[in-house]
Amino acid sequence: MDRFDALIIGGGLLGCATAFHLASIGASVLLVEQGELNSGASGQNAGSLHFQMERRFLENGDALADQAAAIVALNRSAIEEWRTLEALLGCDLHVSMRGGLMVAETPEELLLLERKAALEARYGLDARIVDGAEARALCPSLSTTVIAASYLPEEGHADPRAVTPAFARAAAARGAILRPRTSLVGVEREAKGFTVELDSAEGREKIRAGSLLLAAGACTGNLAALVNVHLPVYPVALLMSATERTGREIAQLIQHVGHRLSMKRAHAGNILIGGGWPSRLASAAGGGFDLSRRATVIADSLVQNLRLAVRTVPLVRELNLIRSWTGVTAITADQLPLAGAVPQVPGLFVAAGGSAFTLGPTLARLLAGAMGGRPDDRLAFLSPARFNHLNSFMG
Amino acid sequence: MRSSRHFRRPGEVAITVDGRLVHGFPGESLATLLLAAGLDVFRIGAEGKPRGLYCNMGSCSECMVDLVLEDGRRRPMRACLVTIGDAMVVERRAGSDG
Amino acid sequence: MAECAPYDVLIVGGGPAGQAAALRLHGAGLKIGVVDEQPRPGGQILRQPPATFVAADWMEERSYRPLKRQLGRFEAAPDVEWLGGSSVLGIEPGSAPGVHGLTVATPEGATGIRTRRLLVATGCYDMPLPLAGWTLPGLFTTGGLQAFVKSQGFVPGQRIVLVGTHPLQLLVARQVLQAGGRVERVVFVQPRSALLRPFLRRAGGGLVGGNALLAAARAWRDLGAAGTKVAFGLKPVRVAGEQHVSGLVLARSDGTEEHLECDAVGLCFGFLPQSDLPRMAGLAMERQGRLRAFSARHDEWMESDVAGIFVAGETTGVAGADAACVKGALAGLGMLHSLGRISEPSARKEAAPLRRRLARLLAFADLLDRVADPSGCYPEVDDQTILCRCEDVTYGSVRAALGTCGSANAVKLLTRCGMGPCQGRNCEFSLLRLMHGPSRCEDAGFTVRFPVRPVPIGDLTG
Ligand SMILES: Cc1cc2nc3c(=O)[nH]c(=O)nc-3n(C[C@H](O)[C@H](O)[C@H](O)COP(=O)(O)OP(=O)(O)OC[C@H]3O[C@@H](n4cnc5c(N)ncnc54)[C@H](O)[C@@H]3O)c2cc1C
Ligand SMILES: Cc1cc2nc3c(=O)[nH]c(=O)nc-3n(C[C@H](O)[C@H](O)[C@H](O)COP(=O)(O)OP(=O)(O)OC[C@H]3O[C@@H](n4cnc5c(N)ncnc54)[C@H](O)[C@@H]3O)c2cc1C
Ligand code: FES
Repeated sequence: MDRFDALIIGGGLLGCATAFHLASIGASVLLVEQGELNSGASGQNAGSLHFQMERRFLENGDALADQAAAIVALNRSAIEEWRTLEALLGCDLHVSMRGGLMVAETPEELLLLERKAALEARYGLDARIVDGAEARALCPSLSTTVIAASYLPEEGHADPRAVTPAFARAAAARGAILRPRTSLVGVEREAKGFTVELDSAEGREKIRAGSLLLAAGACTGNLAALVNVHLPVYPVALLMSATERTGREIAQLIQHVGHRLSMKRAHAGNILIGGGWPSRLASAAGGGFDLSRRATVIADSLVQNLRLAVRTVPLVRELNLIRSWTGVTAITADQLPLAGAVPQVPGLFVAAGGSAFTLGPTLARLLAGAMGGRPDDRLAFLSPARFNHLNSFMG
Repeated sequence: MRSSRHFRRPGEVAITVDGRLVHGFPGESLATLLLAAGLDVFRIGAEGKPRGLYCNMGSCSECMVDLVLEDGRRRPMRACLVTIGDAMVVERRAGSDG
Repeated sequence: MAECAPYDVLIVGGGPAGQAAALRLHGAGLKIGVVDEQPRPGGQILRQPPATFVAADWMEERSYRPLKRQLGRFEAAPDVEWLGGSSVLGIEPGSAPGVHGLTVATPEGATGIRTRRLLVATGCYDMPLPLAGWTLPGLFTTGGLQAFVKSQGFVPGQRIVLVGTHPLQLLVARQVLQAGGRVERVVFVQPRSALLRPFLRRAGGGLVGGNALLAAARAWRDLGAAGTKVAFGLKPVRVAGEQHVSGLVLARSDGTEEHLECDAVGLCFGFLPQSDLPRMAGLAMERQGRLRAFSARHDEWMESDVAGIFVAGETTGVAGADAACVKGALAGLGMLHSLGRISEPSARKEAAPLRRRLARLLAFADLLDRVADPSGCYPEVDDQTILCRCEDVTYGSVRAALGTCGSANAVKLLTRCGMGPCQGRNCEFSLLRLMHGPSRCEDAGFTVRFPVRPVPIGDLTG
């Protein structure tokens, strides 16, 4: 039976980037992915690099907002991470960090921006609040209804189609083995590590691993059952849309503090429109969600998302919509990522949830350190230990 | 070449294409009008070469042009599905020298 | 987006199949609508000239007569609402109990339509055939070139070459001549015997489809009389030209090349069912014919695996206009039955002769499929040739991606092949062929996304 220092489940950004960092410090790594590498949320997301606090943390009351503000510190590390990522991986990831504008259209929204800026300042992030005219000077495509925006020069976007494959190639180059079309189907715990069962076209096989990382995105909660723990990770289906390519310029990442909206002109020239509008997950016959079936677009979500886009950047109404798609990602019980060791099961780690495109490379680097025996304080507030109460009777 | 073997066309209309007046016949498709006028480049491909329309049935989107509406807004359309109308204003995506 | 009261039956596609279904349903007091992107009904085979043109002897070839009669009855049916110039962008099955939803881009903007029964009869399209230079202006699908001639009286070139494997190109060539145009040559890639032998073997049996055969034979004779050469056994190598098509390079079987000068080329290698709407709606699909093309699966009443959604015509497999009519009539009957407007025994009785006729037509279609089979006839394409026209993705980059990608979707994500406005209609077939060869390609293809046709965002937001 083959034995690896680490077995990683999931070939998304978190899995591939952790594989890269582990392999870089000399660990033997096997990564298995049930479908194709990058076929989950990591390849279908909006590609936003948003380092300002997200509006979703502001819309559910002060307590959650305060707790979530801690993520801002991590965002600051992520800024450095993205600045150097192309050099690290030695390829073009279409990283564009030409600024981000989170816009407000009403006085109430401006207040929200100010509250957000105050929270962020506590953790050392300085987004500047600019008025409508200055916002439009920065991004002339913005509508005249914008009265203010908080501006962070480091924000931007990168190409989700490129980032995970680049990590995968680099991991393989450092000796990690990445196996697509292979899924985890069983786990046995042992004194020092795990024996796991894998399933692929070649049939079933067992391998041994010292540590096990669940980085299976939306499936992570279900997989946790294989090791008899609860991980409060839930699937959510989100909507994205792309216009045809255009030569018209939008340099920044555009978000809206009062509404669900994110927009950018991606590398190829298409304008991507998203912001967290829901799609419909397929449900399973006996209850629960069927993640093997495609989530479907909710027509009303689409129209509202597009209306907001037109209101904020009017030129998009003159462009063709060529594709709307749904991507399924993971959300945790408190919306913060889950990253670290699972206390109940020695050797078991998890990485799921959150805006893990922006944060993925950083989380993966810190997590690889933890798996290699050097835990980092910056991950402490994301530790699965915060949900220990769910596992009082498990493990 | 417009053929009159099987069809009799009503009187001409003129539309504006890339700032120039181009004549056609009421009811004609915009694709026909453009090709008949020798304006057969719809865009320039990434390799820098001119691109033509392909399927003439709405399937390939290679004939995309912008209609300029009265209020100045643009409305992208597949030229092979558009029936020309008097005083229509059209811009190709190839620039005016294509 | 505005919404109006639900239809009893909504038909997507006003071609022979959609017409036949509507004609079977009309007169029963139902609210029936027919949506089509084209301004006028007719479908691809009878693409009508604009109503403003005065047409004499339009499509006078004998084989079109029954279809023209059907079209006349369709246009005269008072209770069939024609929703022309409108593209269906997406289908939402079961948007309410017993009701299906559609998003439709009309000339006035996008709108939602609901209907109790839906028929998808969206026909087929010319199989895209990547070839060096196939993106140049002056290179068309033969169906597209023909549509200029038959519906616009416009011949898009002074010297036309048609090349392919499908006998339809004989008819198209003659239509060009009849319109006063010039066809340099009609080139069949397969040897002459491959085209003729299967027909000759069947000719004794008084077969259905005989009309179509006779039409092709007459066209061939007329081409000969007009001095247009019909050649066999030549493979297209590349389309020449810088700004516009200036010639077609062909390879002879001995490997030497021939350069034909021309200013327009039509490619005619067969047809693929329009499968995007059924796939987007999640209907069960199957692979059909020698091309193993995606087509919608159905029961004996042409109902798909989603209750209330019916399919007919070339969408269910390319089999020619006569078969499309019969399938359409069966779908009409099926919907009438499922709406409780006809008893099961009566429906069965009416369906029996239709099914017998369909079986014969499908046997003929299979023969045509064999004759026109392009396998072995595809051009060799180098790494610089564009596979995905919309996104300028070359064969080279797709070939490189196949090293790591195990599915069409993975190739799409990595290379952008299929990410453009055509939703993959131009490249999916070629990609699948490259991945597995047509015979054992069981990849599910690209995930079809809303909207199946590009639509201005302003049309959706109102
Ligand atoms: C539409 C959308 C837009 C988004 N926009 C942004 C954004 O702009 N910015 C941002 O920061 N974040 C964004 N996100 C979130 C971000 O994409 C995710 O947080 C991130 O990609 C998560 O990476 P992952 O590796 O955890 O998950 P995934 O990429 O989902 O990877 C998990 C993988 O595990 C595999 N797997 C599951 N079960 C098994 C098993 N049993 N065996 C083997 N493999 C298995 C899956 O097939 C999958 O490939 C967005 C998400 C979506 C859906
Ligand atoms: C370009 C072309 C030319 C052809 N010419 C001939 C010929 O000359 N002789 C011959 O025997 N066969 C010809 N064929 C084959 C021919 O299409 C069929 O035999 C016959 O027309 C099929 O009938 P149908 O009703 O299934 O589909 P069609 O006649 O193709 O009708 C389908 C209709 O659906 C509409 N449609 C498709 N998608 C949408 C959408 N999303 N929204 C709204 N409307 C939509 C189309 O505009 C079309 O009018 C041709 C095929 C093509 C593609
Ligand atoms: S030419 Fe293909 S859509 Fe118009």
